[in-house]
Amino acid sequence: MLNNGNKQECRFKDDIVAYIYDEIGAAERGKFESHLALCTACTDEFAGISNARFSVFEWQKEEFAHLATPEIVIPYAAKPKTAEAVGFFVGLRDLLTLSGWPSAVMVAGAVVICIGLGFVAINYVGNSAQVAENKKPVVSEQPVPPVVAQSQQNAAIVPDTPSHKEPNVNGTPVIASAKATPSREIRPVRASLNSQRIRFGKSLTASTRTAEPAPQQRKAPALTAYDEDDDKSLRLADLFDEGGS
Amino acid sequence: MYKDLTDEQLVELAVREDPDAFGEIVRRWERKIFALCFGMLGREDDARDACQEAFIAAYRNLKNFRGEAKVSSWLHRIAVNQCLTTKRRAKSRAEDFLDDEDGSEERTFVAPLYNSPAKKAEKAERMILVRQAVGALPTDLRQVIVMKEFEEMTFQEISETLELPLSTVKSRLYTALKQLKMKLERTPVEVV
Repeated sequence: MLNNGNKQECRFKDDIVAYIYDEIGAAERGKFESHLALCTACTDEFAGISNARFSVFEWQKEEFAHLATPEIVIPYAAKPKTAEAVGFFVGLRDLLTLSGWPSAVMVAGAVVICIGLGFVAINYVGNSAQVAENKKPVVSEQPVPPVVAQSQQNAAIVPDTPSHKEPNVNGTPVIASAKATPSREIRPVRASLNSQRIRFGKSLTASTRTAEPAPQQRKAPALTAYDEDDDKSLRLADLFDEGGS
Repeated sequence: MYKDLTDEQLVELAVREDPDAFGEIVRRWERKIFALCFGMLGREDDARDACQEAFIAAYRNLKNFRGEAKVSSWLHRIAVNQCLTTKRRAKSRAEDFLDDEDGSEERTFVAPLYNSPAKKAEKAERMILVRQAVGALPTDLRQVIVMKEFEEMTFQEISETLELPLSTVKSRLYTALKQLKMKLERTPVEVV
C-alpha cells in the first residue's frame, strides 16, 4: 500500500474534484482509480472531500430541491401622463395600441367607414358625369316635351298610315312638320336610333336630320386604306409611259 | 461506554468478537463512508449498497487490520475497493445482462433506519450546520459551490459564466469543499 505521507506531493490531488463530479476523461479516470487503490493519502483526502460534497448535496436536496419555483411577477410601473402628453394624437396612439377585442372593433369600424366613403365618392362622381352629359345638349338645342318625342317616334315608325294623317288633337306643330315631309323615307331602324337620341334630349329636327342619310356624314375612304393593287389607272399610266418610251 | 474509546481500541474489542464495538465503529463512520461511496459512484442507491458491503468486508477482515494505518484510512481503503468493484460489476452488467441476478443475491442486508427519530434529528441538525458552513464561506468559493450543486452547472459552464480558467474553477471548488470539511469536522453532530 502506497502512503505518500504528504498530500501536497501527490499529483492526483487535482483530479479529486473532477472525479467526484464525474467530469474527468476516461483515461484520467482509469489512472486516478488505479492510484486511489494504492495511495492512502489521496484516499483519505477523497473521503473528506466526498463527505463535504455529500453534506452540501443533502442540504440542497432537503431544503431546496422540494421548493416550488416561485412565480415571477414583474410590477411594471405605469408611466404618469403629463399635461402636454395628453392630446388627440396621444389618445389615438393609445387607442391604436389597444390589444384584444377593442382593437378588432376599431379595425372593423375603420373598414366600414372606408367602404362608406368609397360608395359616396363613386356615386358623386357618377352623378356629376351624368349631369354633365345631360346638361350638354339641353344648353345647345331646344328642349322637347316627352309627349312630342313619343309622337315623333310613332311618326317615324309608321309615317304613312291613315291614322297618322288624322288631325292631331294636341295640334302641335311637330305633327305638321312631319306631315310636311311625307316624301321623306324613314326607315324603322333609324327611327329606333332616333328614339334613342330623343331620350337623351335631342330635338325633333335634329333627330329627323340624323335619320336621313346625309352625304357629308358618309364615311370617306381613309388614305391609309389605299391599296396599290386596286389602282388601275396608275398601272395604265405606267403602261402608257412604257409604250410611249 | 464505547463513546470514549478510540477507533483502534474499538477494533481491538471487535477482533475479540465484541459486536457492539464494531457497531460503534459503524455508527461513527457510516455516514463518511457513505459520502465517499456517493462521491465515487454518484448514485445514492449504489452508494448505500457499496457502503453496506464495505462495512461487511471490514468486519470480515478485522483480523487483518495490523494497526499500521489509522482505522479511518483502513475503512476508506475498503470502501474505495468496494466502489471500484461495484463500478466494474455495473460495467460488466451493462455489457452482459446475465449478471443481474447474481448481484441481487448478494444484497441480503437490511437498510439502516434512516427514518428513525434520532436519525431525523441528526439530519436536521446537520442541515443547520451545513447551511452555516456554506454561509461562512468567502463569496468566490460559495459562488462555485452554489453553481455546481444548486444550478448543476458543469465546470466549463461555470468557467464561461465567471470568465475564469477551468483550472481556477476546479481549484476554487476543491478549496471550498475542503473548507467545508474542516468547518463540519470542527462542529461534530451530536446524536440525539
